[in-house]
Amino acid sequence: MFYSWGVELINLAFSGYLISSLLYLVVTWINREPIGRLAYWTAAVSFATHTTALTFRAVAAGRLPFATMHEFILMFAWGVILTYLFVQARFKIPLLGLLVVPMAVLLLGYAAAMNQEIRPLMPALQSYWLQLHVLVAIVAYGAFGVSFGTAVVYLIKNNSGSGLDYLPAKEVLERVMYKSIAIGFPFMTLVLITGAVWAEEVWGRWWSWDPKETWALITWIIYAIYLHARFVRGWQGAKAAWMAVIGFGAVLFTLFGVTILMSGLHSYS
Amino acid sequence: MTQNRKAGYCIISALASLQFGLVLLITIVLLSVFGTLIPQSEQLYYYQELYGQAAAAFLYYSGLTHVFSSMLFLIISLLLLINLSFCTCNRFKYLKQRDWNGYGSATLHFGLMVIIVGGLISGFFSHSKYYEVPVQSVMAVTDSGFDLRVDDFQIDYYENGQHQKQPRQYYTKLTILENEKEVGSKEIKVNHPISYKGTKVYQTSYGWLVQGNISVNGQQKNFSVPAGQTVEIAGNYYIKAIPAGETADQGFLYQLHHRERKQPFIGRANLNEQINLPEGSVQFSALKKFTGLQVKSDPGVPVVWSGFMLLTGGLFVKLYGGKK
Repeated sequence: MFYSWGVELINLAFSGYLISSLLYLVVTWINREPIGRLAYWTAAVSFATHTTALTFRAVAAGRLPFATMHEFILMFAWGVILTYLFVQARFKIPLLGLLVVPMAVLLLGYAAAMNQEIRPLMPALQSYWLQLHVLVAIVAYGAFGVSFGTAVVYLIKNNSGSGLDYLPAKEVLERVMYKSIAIGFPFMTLVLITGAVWAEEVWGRWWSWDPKETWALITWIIYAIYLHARFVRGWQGAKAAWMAVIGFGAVLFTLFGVTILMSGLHSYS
Repeated sequence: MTQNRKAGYCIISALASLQFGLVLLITIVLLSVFGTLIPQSEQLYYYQELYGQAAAAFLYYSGLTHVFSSMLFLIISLLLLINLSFCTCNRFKYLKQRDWNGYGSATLHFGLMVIIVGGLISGFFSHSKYYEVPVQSVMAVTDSGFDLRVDDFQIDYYENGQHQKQPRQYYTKLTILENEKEVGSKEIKVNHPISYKGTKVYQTSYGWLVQGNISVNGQQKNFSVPAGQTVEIAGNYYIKAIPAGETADQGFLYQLHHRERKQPFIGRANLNEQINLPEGSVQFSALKKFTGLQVKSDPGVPVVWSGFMLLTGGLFVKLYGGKK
């Protein structure tokens, strides 16, 4: 019962995010404050629905929904929207919603096409390190998703010259982008560390250059480069924004590209 | 003299610069991308099949087919370590009181150095070996100064609903023996290895061993082969055997193959039943469960773990330590 309620609520949340995305699209044509606010609140209500759905799934499974790729994608979308709601409430960046909320639509749509069955944990997955690993990944990837959206807004603003007055100043965008990466980065570090400790416990090797962990390291290094590049002349501005875009590309490749294209130890995710 | 010193200073300041560090990081990213796109650690002919002669030779001899154990990767790691040590020293040198951000930065960079050193130690000095040990038998662990006796192996299954019969956990009961004296007993399971005198023992696999003997031209030999695997046992004979049921008295299905003959002997035999061959006979005498144990020692782990703690501590002090 909880299982099917969970599925129904996820579908509702999906529809809500879709409506919110369309509203955000409308805002780019007719820039009316109330429509933007409606879009934001639609996303917020969908997020509450999404949260309830995850809770139901957890109750049905008798564990946190951290074990299958389907569950991880649901959590990933949840983390992205959570970060977005915070950032938007604080900094009010028009266009950010149009870039971030559709991500949740795509992710939930993709998740719906996967095997949604609740499976019991295989022995390798029965570890507190796994739960921690996934938890910190949700925070990190949520923050990186928002930094990606902000980077794209920055690049749009940057290329439009003096136009697009309704977008915040480049400095504001730069600050939001930096902040979200600076918050995501320590959690990305923890993704690698908890993964290594878990691998040591389960396989007896804390690092094996498996494609998924290698790509997680690549992601980490790209963001590390971003954080240092601020201190190097000529690497700020648009270049930094592109790095934030590439970094999130690496996140997506770790999650989807590696799973689809490469074989390795992470066969269950 | 002064010119030498000047050149030396230039080299050092280049090695220590942030730009150089970033170039190293970008190189690591590119090498890692290659390391995941090109299948790693295969034989040369595998790459020739995949990429053609010339490309295969280039990839193989440049180290791109074993990126993470290549000389280039080692050199880059060492350069990064040097670069980090300069950067860490500088950070510690200019620390002011209550500059949490600065303390955090210095600590996390030092933590990264420790992790790289630990990684090198792991890479050069860790040993790992896989053993298949029948239940109720003793295994000598190479180089570790103790033996392990496998007392029992159990599989625990999920009970209810549609996931019935999916394994929940694998357990092996082990007794550690030193000079044939029992030191202690412990149960291991997946995700819960034991550690004894710097050696860790992991539950990794399980299976069945089919045991028996073969006599060929008057010579008798015992064998013990994993169920379902084709193994050469004696006198040019290969065997592949699987148990017909869960216990030995339900018999065995077998395939006996002689190296020089096309037609294999295929059939089913009861426990201790004699299977006749042109040169002799084969019989199955027992079915033993085995547990697959990974035994490893890695002196890098404690180093890496301390690096992880320094790195995490540093990052969060920097992030939440206030004062910019």
